Amino acid sequence: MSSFIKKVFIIIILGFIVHLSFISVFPQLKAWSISRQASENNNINTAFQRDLADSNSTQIIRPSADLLYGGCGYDVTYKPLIISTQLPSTYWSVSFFSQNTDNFATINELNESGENLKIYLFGPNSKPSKVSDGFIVVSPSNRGLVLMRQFIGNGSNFDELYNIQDTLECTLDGS
Amino acid sequence: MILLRRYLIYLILVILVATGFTYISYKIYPSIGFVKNDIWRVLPSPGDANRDIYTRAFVSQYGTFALAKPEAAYFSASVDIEENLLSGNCSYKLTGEDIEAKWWAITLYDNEGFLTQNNEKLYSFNSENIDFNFEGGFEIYFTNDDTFIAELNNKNWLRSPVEENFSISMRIYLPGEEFFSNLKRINLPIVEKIRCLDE
Repeated sequence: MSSFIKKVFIIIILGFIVHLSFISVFPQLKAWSISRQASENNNINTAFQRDLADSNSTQIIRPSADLLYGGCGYDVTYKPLIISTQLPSTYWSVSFFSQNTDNFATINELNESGENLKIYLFGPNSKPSKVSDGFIVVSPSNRGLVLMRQFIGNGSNFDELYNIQDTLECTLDGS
Repeated sequence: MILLRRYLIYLILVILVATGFTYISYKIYPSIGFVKNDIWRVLPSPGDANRDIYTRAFVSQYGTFALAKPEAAYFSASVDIEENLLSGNCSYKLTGEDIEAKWWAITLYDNEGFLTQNNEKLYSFNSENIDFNFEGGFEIYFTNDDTFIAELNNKNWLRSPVEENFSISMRIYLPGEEFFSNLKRINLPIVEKIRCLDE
C-alpha cells in the first residue's frame, strides 16, 4: 500500500473515531448545558416548577402543551436525594434521566395509587438502605434530572395541578 | 515548523472527515432510525437506556428527555397523505379514531419545532378536550385561513403558521406493551389537504 493511501485510510479511520466520540458525548453536552442553566438558578437538588408551554417556550424543541412539568436537576454524589410530592387524580409520572439523557426509571400511577409519593434516589456507588415509606431508585450517574409530568386534560383542574406542582420537593437526605 | 504545519493539516482533515460522517449520519438517520406508519414517523425506543448512540444523540437534540417505552410513544408527521409537506398556505383536515391509551394529544409545531404563536393560545388537542364525532372518531383542522375557520362547523382547529411549513406530533401515553410491537400497523389519523390560499 502506498504511503498516500495509507495516510488517507488513517485520516478516514481517525475521522470516524472522532465522529463516534462526538455522537457519544453529544447527549452529555446537551444535558450539561441544560443543568448548567439549572445550577445558575441554584436549582440543583431543589425542585423547580414550569408553567404550561406556549409559543414563547423555546428552551426545548417540541414541548408538550398538555403537560405541566416540575422536577429537579440532581447531584447524588455524596447523599441520596429524597423526592416527595402529592399526586393528582389525572395522569402523572415521575421520570429519571441520567447524565446522558437515558430515561432509566419512571414511576407512575401503575406503581403508586395513593395521594402521596416519596422516592429515594441513590447514586451509582451507594448501597441503598431499606426504606419503608417510599420507592428506591438507583441512578447510573451521579448527576441527572428528575421530571414530574401532570396531564392537564380538559383544563378543568388547573388549580389542583398547580397546587400539586408546588408540593414537589427535592432534598438531600439529612439536609 | 514544517512538521507542525503538516500535523495541523492532518488534524484539520480528520475534523473535516468527522464533520462529514456526522452530517451524513444526521441526513441518513431519520430514514433508518424511525419506523414509518403512513404519514407518521416514530422512534421505537426514544428514551430507553439500551438505545443506540445515534438515537440517543438525535433524541437529545430533538426530543430531550423523551420517555422510554412503555410509558409513551411519540409520533410526528410533516407531510399529508399525498406526501406533500404540510404548508401554512393550505388548510388540512386530520381524521382519526380514538386511541386505546391512558391519554393522547396532537400538537402543531412551526418549522423550528416550537408551538405556533396564535391569539387563541391553542396549540394542541388531547383525548379529554377534543370534541368527538357521533361515530366516536374526531377531526382536527390545521389552518390560518380566517374564511375557512368561519365556515367550519367544528371547534377542533389549530392555527398553522403563516407561509411556513409545519409539523404535527401525536403523543400517546400508556398505550400498553403490545402497542410497541405493532408500531408499523396501528391505526393512526390521516391528514388531507382541503384547499390552499393561492388556489
